[in-house]
Amino acid sequence: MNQISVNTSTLSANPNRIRSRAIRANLVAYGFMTPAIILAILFFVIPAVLVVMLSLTDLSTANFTADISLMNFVGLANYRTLFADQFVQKIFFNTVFYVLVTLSLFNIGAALLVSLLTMHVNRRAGFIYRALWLLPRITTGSVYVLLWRRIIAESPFGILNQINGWLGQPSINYAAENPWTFVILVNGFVGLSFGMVIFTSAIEAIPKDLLNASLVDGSTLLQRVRYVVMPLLRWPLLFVMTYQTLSLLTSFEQTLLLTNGGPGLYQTEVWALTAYHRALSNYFGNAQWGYGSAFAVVLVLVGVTLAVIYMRVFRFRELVSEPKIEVL
Amino acid sequence: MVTDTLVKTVSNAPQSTLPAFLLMIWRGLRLALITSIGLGLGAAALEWVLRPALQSVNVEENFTATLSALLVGFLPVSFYIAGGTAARAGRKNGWISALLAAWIVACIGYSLLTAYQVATGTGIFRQAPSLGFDLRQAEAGVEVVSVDVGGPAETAGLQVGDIITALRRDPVTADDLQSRIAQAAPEDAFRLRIQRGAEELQLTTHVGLINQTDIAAWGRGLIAALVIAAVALIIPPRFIPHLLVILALLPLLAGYLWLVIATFSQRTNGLLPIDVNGNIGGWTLANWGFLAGKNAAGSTVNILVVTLNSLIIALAMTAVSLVICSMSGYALSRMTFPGRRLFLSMTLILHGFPAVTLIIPIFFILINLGNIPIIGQLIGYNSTGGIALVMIAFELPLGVWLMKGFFDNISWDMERSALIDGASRWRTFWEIILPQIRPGLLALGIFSFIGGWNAYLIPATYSVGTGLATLPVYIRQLSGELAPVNWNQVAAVGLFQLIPIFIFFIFAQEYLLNIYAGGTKGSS
Repeated sequence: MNQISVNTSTLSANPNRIRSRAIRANLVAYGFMTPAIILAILFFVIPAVLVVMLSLTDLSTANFTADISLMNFVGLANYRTLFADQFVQKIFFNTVFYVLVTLSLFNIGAALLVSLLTMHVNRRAGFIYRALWLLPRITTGSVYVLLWRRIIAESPFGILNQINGWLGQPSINYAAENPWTFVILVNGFVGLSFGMVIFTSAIEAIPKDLLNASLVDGSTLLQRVRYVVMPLLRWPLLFVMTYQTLSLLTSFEQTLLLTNGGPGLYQTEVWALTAYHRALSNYFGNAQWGYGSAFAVVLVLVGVTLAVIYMRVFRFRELVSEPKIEVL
Repeated sequence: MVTDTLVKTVSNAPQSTLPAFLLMIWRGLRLALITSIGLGLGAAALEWVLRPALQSVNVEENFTATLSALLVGFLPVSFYIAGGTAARAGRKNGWISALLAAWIVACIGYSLLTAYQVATGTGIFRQAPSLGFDLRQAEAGVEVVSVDVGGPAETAGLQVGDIITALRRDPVTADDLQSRIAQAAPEDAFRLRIQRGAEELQLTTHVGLINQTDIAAWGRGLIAALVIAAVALIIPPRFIPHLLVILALLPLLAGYLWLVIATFSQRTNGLLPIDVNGNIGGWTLANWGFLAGKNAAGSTVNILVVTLNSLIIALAMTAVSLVICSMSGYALSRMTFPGRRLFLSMTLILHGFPAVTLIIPIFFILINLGNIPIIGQLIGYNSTGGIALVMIAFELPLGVWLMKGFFDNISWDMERSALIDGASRWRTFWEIILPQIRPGLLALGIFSFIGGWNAYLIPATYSVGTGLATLPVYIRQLSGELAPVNWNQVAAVGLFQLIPIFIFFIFAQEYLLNIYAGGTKGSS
């Protein structure tokens, strides 16, 4: 109210002054935004365009140049090579397998289980457990993977094989025999904490009356979970699912450090790791930036699409709220 | 009437215990059956649906097999636990009968397992391929120590004291022969060349299956079943969540425990510290010599430079992120300007967008930035500034979104009065608003610092040589596969790197828990 009256009085007094004031306010706002805009353009907008352009060139170590005008454009040749590549099918299904299994077992399944379990113990203990689950996420990849490599190492060094020895079992070379299991475990233990925190706060927000009412009605624990908690968790579940699908699709640091796509031929290679290998870390010293970019473009497209979709679905209401202070 | 009921109750009491007892068993069996069907269906889906599907598309994995083996292995255990759980309700009528009921269910489970193993010849009742003799490595060859009566070896004519010199024509050792027999299929022929006294002859034996029933193992299994059932009966329900969470945390805890133990010992076998002679012990501080510039092997390391690199990147990230994110967060929260909606939706979309997919083109951006005169050296490819800049950018959407959320949540009365009093927007922001969102700044600051301190992928990708190595990159180089790795040395550097992380972890768990879930809680 106050504001409007101020505005109208100044408007009637001097229209030119109010317009120049508005322009100045806009300039101030852009001033505040400038650093972020520059960074976003430099490291998001230009790269997103550039990756598509690179994927249309045959840029490799042999004809390396950082100048776009000197690059040799070859049309869709990289994409044709990509679809003809005999290992692409394997890498694609590796990725599907990895994302689906890790997502369902850890990022959602175990996350939900851990948040339900830690809410059924006393507050302090539950908090400590949840904090402990955060450790893999805040430990740097190379140390975290180092721990796992020692867990699965061969006898006499590995912890698992030490237990095998106590039980009279032979030593197993887990890294060679069961690489996928540990790729999934290593990534799953990191990914779990995201869903855990979201689910915990969502469950905490469930009105206690509902749970009490179901208790009075004589429900069992499983019934309460199925009919009271789960329906109210639908949106958090969907959110975690989409968000984590995307992060699993594109994260490859742990896999790079643990198996680097091996030990068999492309045995644990996922799509994002392939893009990285082709373009930035090639065994043969021949970096194929053009071909690697073709792999990356596929991920960028999936990433943008999913990001747009779920931000539309999940955050749109918050987005449209207008700021509280108008121009003064 | 009253006496009638009393008499009825008393006379009913002894009779009603038997049905109650049977009811406990019935409930236990029902629970076990339901769990088993669930586990069985899970294993079947893995074995007959997922695994063939994955095989048909060339995914080489043992994960489904491992998981289904775990599920099947848990089948008998589910009987023991179900027996104990179902009997829990009957504890108030008498501990003995409840325990008995639990054990009966457990025994039914165990006898089913035994019957299965006998029928299929697996597990404790497995039948192993054998030739029916005992061997010992002698100087001349493999000596036959004893021959089973009626076994394949005796049938073929082997005698005690024979020396086996070769299998077909290949010389053979005792271990080698044993392992070949263990891998053989029934009726496989073994042509053995034998030295008997001065005479040399050749005998052909056929592998037979011999029961290797291990009664002691069967007894141990039974005791384990009874113990599990008893524990499931006795354990208070409120301990069960603790138990499950700790069980799931075990690999992590073991890993971190190893890190601490390994740091202070010469070598480790599993979780045991050992010295050079292989005895338990061997505590040492030699692994920490890298702090003074010498590693355990005695060669020099420049840990100071590496630590400084990490520290510079982390601090630069913290400072710059805080300034940039709070500025744009403030503008998005408190100002209207053309394009605000666009910026907001961009922030949101980038918040979800995985920036790591842009790692290839950013390589070219950095190379081109390096060509800018004067500042190019600072922010180009293979420079600390460039690495920090990329990481700040990757973190930008989350930071801006988080900061906007914090600004949205504070009252704008003070700000308004400052503006009315004629303070500039910048001054209001810097002197009035920023002090009010200290918790937000702290949260984002910790997040940025940890991000910079832990950075592996970006520094490893956008730098060459060791001059710009950060601690995580250095740790990776130490634990590379090419040279023999001194794991305890690596562990020491790893623990050193973890010190600030652990400090933040202990003092700022709450912030961390919120912010690592994408700042969803901090913003609303």
